[in-house]
Order: sequence, then structure tokens, then C-alpha cells
Amino acid sequence: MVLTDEQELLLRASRGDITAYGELVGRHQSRVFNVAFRMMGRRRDAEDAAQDAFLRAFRALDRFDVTRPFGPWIKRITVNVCLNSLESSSTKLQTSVSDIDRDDGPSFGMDRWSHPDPTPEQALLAKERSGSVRFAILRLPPLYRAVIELRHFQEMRYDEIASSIDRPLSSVKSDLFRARRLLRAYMNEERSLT
Amino acid sequence: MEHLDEALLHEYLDGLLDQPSRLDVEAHLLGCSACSDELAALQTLFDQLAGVTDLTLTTDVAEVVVSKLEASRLEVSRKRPGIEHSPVWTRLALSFQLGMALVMVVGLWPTIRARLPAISWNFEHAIEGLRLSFPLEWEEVASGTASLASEFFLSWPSLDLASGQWILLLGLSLLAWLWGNRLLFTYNLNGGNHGRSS
Repeated sequence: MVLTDEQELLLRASRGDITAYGELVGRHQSRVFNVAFRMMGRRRDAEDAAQDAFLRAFRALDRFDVTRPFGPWIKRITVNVCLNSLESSSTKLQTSVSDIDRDDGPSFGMDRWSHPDPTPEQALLAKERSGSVRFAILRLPPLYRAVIELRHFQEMRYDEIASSIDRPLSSVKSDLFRARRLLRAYMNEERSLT
Repeated sequence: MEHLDEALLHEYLDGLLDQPSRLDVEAHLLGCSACSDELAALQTLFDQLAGVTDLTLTTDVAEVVVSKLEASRLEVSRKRPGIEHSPVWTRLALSFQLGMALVMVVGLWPTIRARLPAISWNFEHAIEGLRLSFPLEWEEVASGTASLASEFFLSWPSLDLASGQWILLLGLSLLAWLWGNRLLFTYNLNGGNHGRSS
């Protein structure tokens, strides 16, 4: 069986090759960081959560099927790491809009714009919109953030979300619908204030 | 006019409805402005979520992860492999074995003390046998052990084995016990497997 480049790295890493794992981490660290940032809201916390997720993944690599893609798996682990961290912390993270604005840099290497070179006005608008949506997500309880992340950013089906965060399917559906309702309310609130 | 269930609108936008259900929803939306407006609002939210941009990572997470893994590996190899690095169940197994051994010694001690001269004689005789002639007179050692066991409150099963077979059985039991304990003491915490190479 011919392995892809990533599968080769995964195989070596699963046998304890730290250098191979380091290369794998390098390929996925940016995406994982963004998953963590959407959950945690602060850059430092997101970096810590990303590190923790990669370390946990390494310990579980011997049980991982190397023919499966690594990306979705590590992102699921990241969401769970963030969820555990948020639920166990005594003071829930309250992130202000100013924190998000400071962290948001002009980064369009992985943006979702259809054209590659937005104008400065479009860039500013995107930054403001992103900031508002990010802030609204961070106002949600941790579990609701997780289901929004897994559905809208990881594009998982309801049953996959249920399996990822170990909740019944019916609960996931109601969590998702309530989360969206809350997000709409927060976004409307934001719009009415501006 | 009855409106669509909110969950149905969510599932419709998530693309999770089967074709008949999807057609029903679309048919209803054509004639219901309230549901259409609700769907449009939901779609707006979906678009806003899809428009969230990614941030640039400014630290090298890979470097930190690799250095932490290497440091933990160095830490594990520096420490003498032993029971303190084994999982709890292995320590419980060892404690159980030690406990059983202690119970047997305590239970047999009066008998051992009483039979000590006989045992000494048996062993001396066995050693004399070793010095003087072959085959070894292990039968006397075996009978001494058997009579010692019969003094114990539990009745031992009687096995009619030749001396050589006894030696083989006891030797294999000892090897199995020692090998089993060695495996317990070298349990690898990193991967959960024994003897995982770096």
C-alpha cells in the first residue's frame, strides 16, 4: 500500500519519531490555533490549548488509524481540550471586543474571501465583522461554542458532533439550535448599538 | 396557517433533510412569508459565520510541542524504570502478591519452626547425596516439603510426579512469576505498551 506524505509522517510519529510529529504539527498548527482561538478568545490561551491538543494527540497516536486524515481528528481533540479547560476554569473567560480587535491582524492567507486581494476598506469591514461574530460566539456558554465550531467551522454532521463531544444526538440538535438563536440575538444587539 | 417547525428550517439549511422533506419545506416557503423571513435571517447568520477570517499564528507551536516531547522522553529515560512509573493496577498486583507471600509465611511459620531440624536434615542429606552419588535424592526433599505442606491448614493437592518433573514444574513456575513481574515493572506509560522503542 502506497502511503501519502502525511500518512508516512503519521506512521513514523506513531512509532515514536518526534521529528516526524514535529513536521506534522507544523502543517496543522495554524488551523488548530484558529479552532482554539474561536473557542478560547485569547491568543495566549489558544496557543496553550493548541499545544495541549498536539501533546495529547501524540500520546494517542498508536491507536490512530494512519489512513484517516489527521486534520479533522486533531481539530476535534482541540475542541474537547478547550471545552474541558473552559468548563473546569473557575472564572469563565470574558473577552471584550477590544481584546479581539487587538488580536485580529490583517491576515488573509487563509481567509474565506472569494477574491485574493481585498481592498483596504473591505479588509477593515471583514475585520470588524469577524470581530463582531467572534465576540458573539465567545458570549455563548462553552458547550454552545463547541457545537457552533464543530458544525460551522469543521462542517461535521449532527451525529459526528454528538460522538465528538459525547452527547446524545437530540441534545446536540437542541444545543445547536439554541446557540444559533442566541448568536442572532447577540448580533442584532450589536447592530442596534452601532 | 401553520408554520414550519424551527428545527426543520435548521436542518433544511444544514442540508440534512431527505428529498421529500426538502420539497415539502420549499413548497411551504413559497406561500409563507413568516417562514421565509425566518429562513433568510438564519441564512444571514450562516453567512456571517462563514465570513469569519482566520488569524495568523505568531508563535511556533511545533517547536514548543517537540521540545516538550523530547524533554518528557529524557525525563522518563533518566529515571530508573520501576514501580513508581507503573500504573496503579500493577502496584496493586504486586501488593497482592507480597500480601499472599506474607500470609503464607506467617501461616506456615509455626510448622516451619517445628520442622526445621527435619528440613535441615533433609537438605543436608540431599547435599550429601549431591556430593556422594547420583541420582540426587530429591525424593527426600520432596517428601519433607510435602509433609510440611500437610501441616498447613489448607490441604494441598497431591501430585504423583517424578522428582525431575517436580523440578521442572517449580522451575517453570518461578520463571513465569519472575517474567510476569518484570513485565509489570517495565510498563511504558507513554504508549501503554511494553518496551516501546524511541
